[in-house]
Amino acid sequence: MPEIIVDGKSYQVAAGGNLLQACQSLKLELPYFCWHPALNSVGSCRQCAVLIYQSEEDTRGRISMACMTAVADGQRLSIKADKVAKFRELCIEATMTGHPHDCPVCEEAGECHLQDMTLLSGHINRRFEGPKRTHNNQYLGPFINHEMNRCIACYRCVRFYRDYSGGTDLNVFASRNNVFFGRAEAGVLESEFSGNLVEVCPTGVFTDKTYSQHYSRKWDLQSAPAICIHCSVGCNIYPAERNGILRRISNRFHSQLNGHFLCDRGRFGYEFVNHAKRNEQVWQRNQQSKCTDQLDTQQAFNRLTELLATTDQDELVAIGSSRTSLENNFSLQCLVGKENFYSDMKSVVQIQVNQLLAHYRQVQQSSDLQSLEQSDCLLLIGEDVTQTAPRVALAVRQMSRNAGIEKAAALGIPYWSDAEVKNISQDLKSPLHIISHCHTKLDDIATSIDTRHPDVQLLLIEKISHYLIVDANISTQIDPDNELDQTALAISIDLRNAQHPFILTGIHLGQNSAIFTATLLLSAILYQLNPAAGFICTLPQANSLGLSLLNDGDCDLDAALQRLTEHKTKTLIILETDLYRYYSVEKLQYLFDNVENIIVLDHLLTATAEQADLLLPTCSFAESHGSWVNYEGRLQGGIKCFAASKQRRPAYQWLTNDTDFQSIIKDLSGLSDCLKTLGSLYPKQSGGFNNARKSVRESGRTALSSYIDIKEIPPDNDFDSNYQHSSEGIASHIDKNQSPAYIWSPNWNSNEAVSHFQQTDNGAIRGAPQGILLFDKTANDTVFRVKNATGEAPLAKPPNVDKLFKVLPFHHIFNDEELSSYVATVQQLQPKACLKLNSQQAQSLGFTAGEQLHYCFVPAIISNHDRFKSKETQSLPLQIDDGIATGVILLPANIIQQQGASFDNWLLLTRTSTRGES
Amino acid sequence: MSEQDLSHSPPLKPLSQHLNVVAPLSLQQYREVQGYQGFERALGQSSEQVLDIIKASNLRGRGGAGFPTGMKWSFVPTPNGDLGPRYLVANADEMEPGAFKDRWLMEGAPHQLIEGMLIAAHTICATVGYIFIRNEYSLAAARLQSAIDECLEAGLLGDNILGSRLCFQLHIHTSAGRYICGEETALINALEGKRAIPRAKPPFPQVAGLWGRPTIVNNVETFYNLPNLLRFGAQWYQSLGLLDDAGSKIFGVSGRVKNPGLWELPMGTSIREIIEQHAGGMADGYQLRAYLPGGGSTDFLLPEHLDTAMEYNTISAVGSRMGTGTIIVLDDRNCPVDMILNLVSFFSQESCGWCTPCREGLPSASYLLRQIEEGNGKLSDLQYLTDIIELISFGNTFCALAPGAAEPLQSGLKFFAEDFAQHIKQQCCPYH
Repeated sequence: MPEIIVDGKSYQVAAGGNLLQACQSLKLELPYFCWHPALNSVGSCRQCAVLIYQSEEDTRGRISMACMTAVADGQRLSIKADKVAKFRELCIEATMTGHPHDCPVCEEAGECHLQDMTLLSGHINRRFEGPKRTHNNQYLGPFINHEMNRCIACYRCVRFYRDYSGGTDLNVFASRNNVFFGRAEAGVLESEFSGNLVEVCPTGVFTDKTYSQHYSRKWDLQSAPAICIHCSVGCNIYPAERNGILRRISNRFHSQLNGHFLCDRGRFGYEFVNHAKRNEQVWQRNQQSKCTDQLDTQQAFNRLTELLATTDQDELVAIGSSRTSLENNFSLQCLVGKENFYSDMKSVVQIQVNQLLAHYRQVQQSSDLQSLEQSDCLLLIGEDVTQTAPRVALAVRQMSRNAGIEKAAALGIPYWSDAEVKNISQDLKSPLHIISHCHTKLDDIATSIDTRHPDVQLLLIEKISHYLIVDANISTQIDPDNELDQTALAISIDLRNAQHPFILTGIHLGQNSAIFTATLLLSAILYQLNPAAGFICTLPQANSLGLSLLNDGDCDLDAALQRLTEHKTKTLIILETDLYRYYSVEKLQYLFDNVENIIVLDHLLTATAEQADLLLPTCSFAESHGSWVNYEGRLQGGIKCFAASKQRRPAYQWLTNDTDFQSIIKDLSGLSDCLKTLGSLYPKQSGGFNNARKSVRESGRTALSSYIDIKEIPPDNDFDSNYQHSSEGIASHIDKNQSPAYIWSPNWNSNEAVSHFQQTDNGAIRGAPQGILLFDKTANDTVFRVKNATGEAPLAKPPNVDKLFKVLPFHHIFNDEELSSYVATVQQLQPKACLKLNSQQAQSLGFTAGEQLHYCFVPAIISNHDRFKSKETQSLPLQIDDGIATGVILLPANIIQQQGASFDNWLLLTRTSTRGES
Repeated sequence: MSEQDLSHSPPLKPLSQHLNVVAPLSLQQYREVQGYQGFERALGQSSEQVLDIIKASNLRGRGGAGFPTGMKWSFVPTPNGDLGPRYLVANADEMEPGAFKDRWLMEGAPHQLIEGMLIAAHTICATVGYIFIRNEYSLAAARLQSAIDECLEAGLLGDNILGSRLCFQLHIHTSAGRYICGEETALINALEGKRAIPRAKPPFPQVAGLWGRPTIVNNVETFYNLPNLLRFGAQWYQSLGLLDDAGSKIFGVSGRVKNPGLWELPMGTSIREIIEQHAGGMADGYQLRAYLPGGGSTDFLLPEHLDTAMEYNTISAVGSRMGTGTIIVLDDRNCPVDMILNLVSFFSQESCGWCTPCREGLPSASYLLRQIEEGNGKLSDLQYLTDIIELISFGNTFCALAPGAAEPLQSGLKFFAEDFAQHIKQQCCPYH
């Protein structure tokens, strides 16, 4: 480890980094703007200047930018020397000549990196009396506010938006002190990661518009470490609340998952927590009066007990939820018995999740995003990850840059020298091969794209496996005229030559089963060839894996419905899931009519909840502790941010007659060896002070509720964890053994303070659990024995009928996930439902763009054409999209899911009969 | 082949002997006066041998910094089987205030630039060349283009030039026009279609420049030195200079002199000779107050420095820079504060906006100078200006633009302290 001498004191620092990274890890206070731990150095802001001495005798020193200077053993430097301190002060003075004095009305104030750095640099008095340069602001969509006058031109926004996340519609325009950061013309930002601009911008140019709608200063917010519930990645987040309203979501650093960045669904999809459709009271349907009665909590508990007591075990069915916590599902399962507990996954999905579990247990663990970012060759099969698990796509983009980083390293340029690496790498990209049925948002960085019909995809994947097994050098086996062979060989060679090859796929609605099986096999072969090979498969929801671990393979949602159809069911309990997302109204109505008591526990008044005979209001993720198992089998605990109001309580409490959380996790952790350490995620209250969820600067504590009672209302209690709903307690920066409740450190009010919680540059947050890896090789017993996947259906051959297409989904970040779809701002960005075909197919059938087309789903194997003529049809407008394989038609994922198609189904298209007749 | 062309006597003005701004020599005419013979001599030798000649000649880059050309080229890695493109760029984005020498050369002798570039291409094994030319230089661009066309026709450009293994494509790229494009790495970014902002070094362009490939960027005038240097050898070239620096140089004078213009003179010619003899001395009724010896981004010198030789190290020793060698003269009837304001405003306008000291410091300096010039100055403004000079001094900024802008400002504050004081005391400009 090199030793550097800073202001006369020696320190050991990590080799290979730059001086700013070294100073950050040493917690030496050196201001900076353009540098960012994930975006690295460009040396534009000149704020991190230090004085570097050539030798022990050198007393003058030379001013250098710490971020652009590599660490060297024996290096002598000064941060405090007058000359360089004055330079930094002059530099910030120059920066501030263009910055307005609007802190009192700026959303950033109180967590503004510019404020912090100005104070740190010691600039106090303003000398410049000239006019400030001004800009026009732009409308950038429902999420991001633009206030260009505040810009200090650190270039971080465009470096994140363009270089890091591949966006193209935000740019820097003009020059000199008139540089403008925005779009060519006003309009909604196109990137799925635009929300990160809020945190990347060191001041208030890009602010969170949704937060501004119910704004509160950072120091007045209450927050706690939580897990994002909007997809299966399990990004770490900080929800922040004041006065019963969830105000915003910000990033919580996790070195192996989300790092510094979230996707827009995760950041802006939170407002379902504040939604008008939130359930707040217990309602019971009164059959006599044909209306609903409100029950008090005790009555509700009694009613639930009574209903269960009068229901025979074989007349009781319960459906769990893949969007709620393990504890809630576990409590329901304990209550109704394992044989009556079903998942909310359709069998096509459940089978594949079970297959995946078997793969994790018997073949290969899944990988985290950090190792994906370090991969040098990726094969992506059949999943548009930018839409289904966006944070994964961001990691793929970093992976693609590795070839350039390696090339730069060969020229002696370190990875952190960002602009220089970019100039050296130019268009060079690490191999990224995409096999899919339609174009995706990662096409721009792909080295090969194979948009194919599923049948051909399957063949291609099998060929790649073949070439991995046989010696790829035997070229005689290659048919030079067979394009597919050539492609498969090229991909297999890349995978073979890579040090850390990666397979990435996903089962959002369930893949084509044959393709999924072939993908698992391919990954297994690759893993056998190279133990450093990685594998990621994204899943439909935040806790799909957790629910499947609890549940047995047979007990999927289709099985539940079959039981409801075939057997008399007296009581049906539905936990936090909306069945109307999976089945048609008609089908569910028929079933619901035959059930005597429908008990629904949910925090939102979903279509399913409206059918409840007894509706129990539950807590959202922000109001309850709970554990989620992400796509890789990482069990992570979320700490509740704020106390539930009204009659809301966590589902596990309703289901266990008010048992406390610590008892639930005690029972849960007894289920398996790998759960033994579950309790470590939720440390109990200590005797003395616990961690404060609020900052000591919280204001208005006594005034907030004075309209209810002039006496101060005592803070809510949390007996289940060592965090308390108060500013009294241990501040997050003091307790080094606990996951911080919020990111703040003296002098560092913004999220940039995260470095003060890390041991090393981009290292883990100290005290914060990284989650429990359930399939870790050291874990002996991985929860419940799940049956192996059932036999594979043979690949269906297309029936010979015109206008019959393989139906596949197109996903959209704002369309597919249940909870975020309730949010008004998210709804604004949902695309219109349509059918998509390529132009060649449309032309051959005589269909034109925009035309309303009827469609119906056709089972894979049909003997009689007439059988489906009578079937009920739906209609949607046609959109032409040439990024789609021939023989394939795309429908919105949510429509496919709801209208009951599986991937062995086909779609019949007909022209609207009324067209031309009217 | 012998080192020297013994059949002709060496020229006294190797840069401009065949220069004709009215009707520049065609390819045929240029060859009649031994044009492209320097290049042919180069072709007859290995790249290493030519590089040795350039090194031995002590030719220094004419763009302003005066970096030894041979040394610069020696940093280009040898191809060693790497078949990728290697680039050579002529920096013709002449935007330095007071400089107009490259325009004169290109308009008057376009073939000599091409010949110089061919010699360089052979030396560094370049495959593609660009002449990055200022948009306003449309006449030069047109003349260069027809010269290129002639060369293509004659097999002097393209594949296997003159039957050799040298393949060299030459393109003219007309700049969209920013002063910063004269900075070689910003020029490379502009050529790539990116924002014209400078790049950090390392990597040096020689190793990873244009499109990440080995690249040499030289000033136009540097290339003009090469043909005769190859013909008559390093020793002859060295002997052209009067003192330490080798070769001849285009010097220019602008301002209130009797005969403003450009002259090719030996390196080491005194400033006095250039101003008093070639430029004819001050115009009637004007006294010499001060001058910028090398264009707008060099420190002022005073009449007491007139006997200084125009040489890189000698000029540096008296506190300024040789720069482009184009002298701007300040007389006694023009306001020095106004002149500095004009220059600083120009550099402020031309900042690329990348680094803070330049982007924000220069407009502040420009604002303060305007306040002083317009009679609204305060004594504290002088300290503020001094602080800005510290802010933008060399090493503190990303590139040399702002430190260059600081040079007339810092020397002006020193030499014209009384003028500044008078402006502030009288709350007006005493010259108006």
